[in-house]
Parts: sequence; structure tokens; C-alpha cells
Amino acid sequence: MKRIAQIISGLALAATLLAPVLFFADKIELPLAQEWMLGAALAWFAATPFWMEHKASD
Amino acid sequence: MRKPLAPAILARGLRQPLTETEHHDPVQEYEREPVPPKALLGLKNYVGQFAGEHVAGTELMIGPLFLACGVSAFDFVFGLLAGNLLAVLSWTFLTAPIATRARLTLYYQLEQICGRRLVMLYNLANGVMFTVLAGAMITVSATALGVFFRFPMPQLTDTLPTGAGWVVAVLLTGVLFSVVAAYGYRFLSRFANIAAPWLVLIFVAFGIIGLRQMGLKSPGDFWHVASTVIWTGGAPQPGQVKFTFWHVMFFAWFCNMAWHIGMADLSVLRFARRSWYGLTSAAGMYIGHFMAWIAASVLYAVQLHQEPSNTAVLPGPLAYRACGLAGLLAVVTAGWTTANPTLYRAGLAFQSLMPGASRFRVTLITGLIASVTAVFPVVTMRLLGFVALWGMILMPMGAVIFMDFWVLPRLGLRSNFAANTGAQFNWAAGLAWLLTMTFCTALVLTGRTQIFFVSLPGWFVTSLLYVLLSKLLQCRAPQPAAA
Repeated sequence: MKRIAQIISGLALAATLLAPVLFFADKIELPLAQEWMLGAALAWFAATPFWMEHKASD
Repeated sequence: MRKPLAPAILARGLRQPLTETEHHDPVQEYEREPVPPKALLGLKNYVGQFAGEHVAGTELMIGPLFLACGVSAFDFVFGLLAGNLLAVLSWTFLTAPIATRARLTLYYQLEQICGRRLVMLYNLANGVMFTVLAGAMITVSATALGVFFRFPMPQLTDTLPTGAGWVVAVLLTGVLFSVVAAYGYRFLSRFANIAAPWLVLIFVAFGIIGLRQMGLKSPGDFWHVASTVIWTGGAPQPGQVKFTFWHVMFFAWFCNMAWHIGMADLSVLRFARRSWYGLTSAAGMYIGHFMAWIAASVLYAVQLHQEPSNTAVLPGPLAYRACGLAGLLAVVTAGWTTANPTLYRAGLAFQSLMPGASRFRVTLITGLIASVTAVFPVVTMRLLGFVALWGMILMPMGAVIFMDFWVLPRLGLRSNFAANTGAQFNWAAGLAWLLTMTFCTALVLTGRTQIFFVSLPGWFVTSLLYVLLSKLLQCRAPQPAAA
């Protein structure tokens, strides 16, 4: 579970960065980039507490 | 700016929250004794801590205000590089050497030098500044509500509330923040830790999207676009001061003056194994006070480019234009995670003046006062000046600590005067503080220097006054009894 959450968090951070880069490169439109970033934010806040808190209590 | 951390979090680093037992045991925080070797922290703790806490809600206001001050690209970029370097060097060569030798909190060190009553005055000043800063953060977060409810929001020159919608939004936000700060500080401090990496990347996204909207198509063209379209160095917006290289450099240097030259980070760096760990402050400076300020400034440039008549600095609409709902989430998160520890710190400062009062009640009342100040946008729209004023007010105590630690013993004078004599109020330190503030205020009010620069001569004035007054005081004070 912890490993899956970490993977989701990593993908969320990657998407947060990739969406503006693709918009910058004219590969996607801004509304789509914004949707990616919103989805990535929700995924980050849903997944990260599982492993970040777990690590903190080690 | 920076999110102030609660003592418990400061003590152990962001990744090591205390257990409930430890939280209620002040000895575990080493608040009134030097930190023992077993409790020292490694380099990684400091890199993470500095990097995370300097991407705060204030960056969303400060970045655009630079542009409103008519800064040019060269002055902005190189001023930030130089000023942040000076800030890092201040942490490394002023704060960290004392922190790693004395290994005491700022408050205990001050109490040893100044006496309990003068520390109470310092706490009062600190509490007032934290309250006003928390109010500014409530203002920042409330601008996110304006995107949906479309009530009139403050313009750059506004000092009074702009209507009932604004007042209701700010008060609702403020009450919510206050209740959480009073009830659930530890929950939100954990939330802040989780949000920090994402917030850093959202600021990167602000910059990338904003630069593309300003017409940048290749990273190689950055300087051309930056100097001819974004930071063109024209006249400042009405009510703002024209910023040059020196303004930017001094602002970046003194933005966290209370923490480095003012020595508040003695409490953080006392756990460092080596004094050169002060260099890790570069992680905070160059992520938060370089990248984030530039990114936030670009967002304002996009607004001015698309709607030249819209000069309002409102983080909510600025972030929404670039990143949509994720941008709004970032505004609320950055504002909230900054306001929460700020209110907590203000509450602690005020509580120290009334030890019998409950922390819950004091924090709640402090939050409500901050909410009322947030209704008036004057502080937020003049945030650059407020930050400089904060540094000016708290800096003298850092100069007192510096001279007391390094210079007084070399002159044959006693360090830690209050601890050695039992004095409750060290008049040398108190007068040095008061006279320095009078001197700096006079310089600013008579137009001899601007608030952004005045703390530099102020530091030397405090240092000189403290040494001279200490000599005078210690000649007349009784010598401590021989052991």
C-alpha cells in the first residue's frame, strides 16, 4: 500500500511539472494543462499522507 | 518570507514530529538548557526544512509587488541573486556560529542577556508583527474566494475595505484559520509538510505558463523577453516606490532579517552539528525568494499584458489565470499553511505575557484580531514596506546578542548580564533597542533613507550603543558573588 501511494505521489508531481512544460512546448492547450494539474494535485493530497506520515513515525 | 515553525517542529526537523508525551515535556525541547550532542541533527534536516518553509503565501504578493515597483530585469534578477547570497552568508556567519556554540533558543539566550521583562517586550513586538502578517495571509487566501463570488476586491492603492462581499470573505476565511490554529495546529502543520513539495512545483508551473503567455517560446530567449516585455523598468504603479538594484538586493537580504541578523534562527540552528549548516539556507532562498518571487512576478506581468488597466495585485485571480483550480488551491494552501503557524507563534508570544491564559483562547483572539486587520488591505498592498519594518524592529536584539557573545568578553565586560546579576531588565540592551528604533524612524521620516535600507546603519548603531551602555551599566552594577 505504501509503495503504491509513493508511486502515485511521484506520478502526481511529474504531472504537475509535465503539464506546464507541454503547454510551453505548444503540445497541449492551457485548459487541458490546468485539468492535468488539478488531477495531479488531488492525487498528491490523496496519496502522500499514506507514506509521508508513515515515514515520519518510523 | 517564511512560515514560522512551532518550537516542537523547530526542534526535531520536519520529518520527526514529537510524540504526545514529548510534546508536553518542555525538557525534551531543551528550551532552557544547551542542546546535548545526542540530539544534534544532520545536514539533510536543514536542507529540507529551509527549502519547504520559504515557499509561503507571502511570495504570491511579494513577487508581483516588485513589478508594481517598476523594477528592471537586470535589477530584479541580479538584485535577488546578490541579496539572497547576503542572506545565506548572514545565517552562516552571524547566526550559526553562535547557535552551534551556545546551543540555546533565542528566547533563553535573550533572557540571559536582557532579563525576563525585556524579553516580554520583545515578545510583544514579535506578537504584533506576527498578527499583522497573519492578517496579510488571510487577505491572500480570501482573494481566491473572489474568483468565484466576483465581489469587488482591493486595488493596489486601496487602504479600506472594498465592500460587504470582501469583508464577509475575509472574516469567514479569518475565523476558519483562527479556529484551526487554535484547535488543530498539529494537524495543519502535518498538512503543510505534505503540501510543501507540491507547492514548490506549482510555483515552477506558474513561471513556465506565465513565461509562455508572455511570448517566450524558447528558454534561450528568456533574457530578451524578460528585459523587453516583463520587467521593463518603467515608472512604478501609483503608491509604490521605484525599485532599483539596491532596493531588490537589500529587500532580499533583509526579508528574513529577524531570523538571521535578528537571531531568531538560533532556535533552529542550535541543533546543527556544524555551523556551516547555515549554508543550507540557500535552499530556501533560491527556491522561495528567487524562483518563487520571479514566478509570481511573471503572473502579474501576464495580467498587465492582457489587461493593462488591471493593476490589482490579487493572488487568487493571478494564480487562476495560469493554473486554474490547481492555482487557486495553491493560493489557499500557501496562505493557510503560512497563516496557521504565524497565528500560533503570535499566540505563544502573547501568552508569554499572560502565563495564566489558555493558549487556545489567546490564539483564537489573536486570529480574530488578525482577521479584522485583514479586512483593511493596506498592509498587504504595502507588504514590501511592512517586511522591511519588521526587520528594523527585531534586528536590534540580534545585534545585542552578537556583541554580547563576541565583543563584550574581549573588552573585559560580562556577557549574559541579566543571568549574572539577576536583573529583570538590562537597561543597556533596552536603551540600545529603543534608541536604535528612534534613530531609524527619524532617518526614514525625514527622508534621509528609505525603510528598505535603514536596518544596515541601524545594526551598527545598536552594536555601538550596546557596548557603550553595557560599559556604563556594568561599572555601576554590583559584581556577582564569587563562586
